[in-house]
Amino acid sequence: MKMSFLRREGPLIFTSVVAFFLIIEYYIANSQLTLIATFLNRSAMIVGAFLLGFGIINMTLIHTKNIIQRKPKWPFSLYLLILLFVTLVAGLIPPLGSNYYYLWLFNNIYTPLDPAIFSLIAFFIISTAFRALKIRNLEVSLMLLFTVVVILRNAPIGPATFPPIGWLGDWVIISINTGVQRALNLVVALGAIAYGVRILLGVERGYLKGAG
Amino acid sequence: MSLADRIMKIDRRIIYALIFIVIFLFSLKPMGIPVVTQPWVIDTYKLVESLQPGDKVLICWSLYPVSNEQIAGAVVILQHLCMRGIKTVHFQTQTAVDLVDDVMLNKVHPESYGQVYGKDWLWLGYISGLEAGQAAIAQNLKGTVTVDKYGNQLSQYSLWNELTNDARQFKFVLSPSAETPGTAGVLRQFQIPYGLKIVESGSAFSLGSVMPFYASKQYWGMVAGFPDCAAYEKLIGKPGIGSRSTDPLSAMGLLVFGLLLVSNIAYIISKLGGKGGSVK
Repeated sequence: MKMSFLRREGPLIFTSVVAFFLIIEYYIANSQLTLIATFLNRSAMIVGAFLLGFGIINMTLIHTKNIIQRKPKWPFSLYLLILLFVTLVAGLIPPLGSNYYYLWLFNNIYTPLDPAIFSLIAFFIISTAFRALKIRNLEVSLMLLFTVVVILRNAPIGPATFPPIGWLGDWVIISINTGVQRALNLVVALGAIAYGVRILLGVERGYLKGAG
Repeated sequence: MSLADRIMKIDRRIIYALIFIVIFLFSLKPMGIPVVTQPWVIDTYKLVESLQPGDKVLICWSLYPVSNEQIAGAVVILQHLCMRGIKTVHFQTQTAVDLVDDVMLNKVHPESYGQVYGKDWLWLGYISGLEAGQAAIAQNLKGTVTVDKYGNQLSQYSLWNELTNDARQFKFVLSPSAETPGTAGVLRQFQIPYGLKIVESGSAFSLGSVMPFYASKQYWGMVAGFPDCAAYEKLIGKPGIGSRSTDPLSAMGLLVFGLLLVSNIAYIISKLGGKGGSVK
């Protein structure tokens, strides 16, 4: 079998056949079809699990190359690889994913670091809003108005001390926001359908990167 | 430089210091600011209250990374489920490894409600494949997983032997989510094919994106953010992290409002001052 068929036409045909089958299975209640669809779903899960390992290998190759070639900021690549393999080794000590060392790394380093980084966002957003949200034109003024309404609505003291702010905030979220979100969801869904049809027909080949 | 210009060009470190001081002061002594109970919180509470002891609920965790606000709603709903004697089955679609351990064992404490692992709650662990994993759980629960997160055979647990492959055996699906596949995946794999009720919990940020689904009753209820969590804690009579967080949240809201007001007043004064209004 030619290599070009395996790299281009083969994956395209396979994708189209599997996708059409799953679409047909979704609309037709048949136990045999459901059995095959379940098998395909479980296969996707297994491939997904393999991708995690593939990601680790890929990262190792890229950052090892950075270190060997002493590219700019190579110490960060070394730092990343050390952390990656320390965590990997800790996680492989039985019981898998539940041993003392792995839990210590997760509970005492990873878990506090994540919210700490996210909490920094509050400082940056507020100082940026202080400088940027000014009544310069109609659009910014409207944005400022709705920002203030929603912020005060989300702060319990807002509706507690001035109930109309709660009603106005709820109206913004339930009416205006819902309408806009529905429009966005519809557009995204239509785009996804169009993209899916293109993949089914083999027109879209982005997932065959390098071979399509 | 006029006062208005000085205010607009204020050193951001002063703003950072103000934020820190306000949060610190309001965290020290709770003021007990009342919270408004939203309709989606009441719907969630009534749904849990309508269940009978022994009913089963599926928990689909799609949280990664984890902050207190993202899990606060899930914690209070799980406490309510434990109080009502409802059995829960947990699985994750993200690799935030010990999320369920941390939530159930360190925050919910099911043993304090008489719940036993294997009999009243199960943790199936991480299911790979994101939405494909959700689909596999929905279509063929018992064929998808054979061991729990700890590596033990599920067949030894009485709760597992009560379960079937019918997704409709669950009274509703609780979806603590912030990441892919999150809301959309649970909707496509559980609500649309099987008509299961879905309850969402997450940060206040997710409220806007989930509201269209709640408005159309595809999502039965929500507990989004600390205010909703505080309201739910008040309904079940167990103050917790939501109630503790409302005062700093209120303080921050007032601070942001004050800062925006001051900066815009300074801007208007500066503009009205004309060409001579600022000196470089």
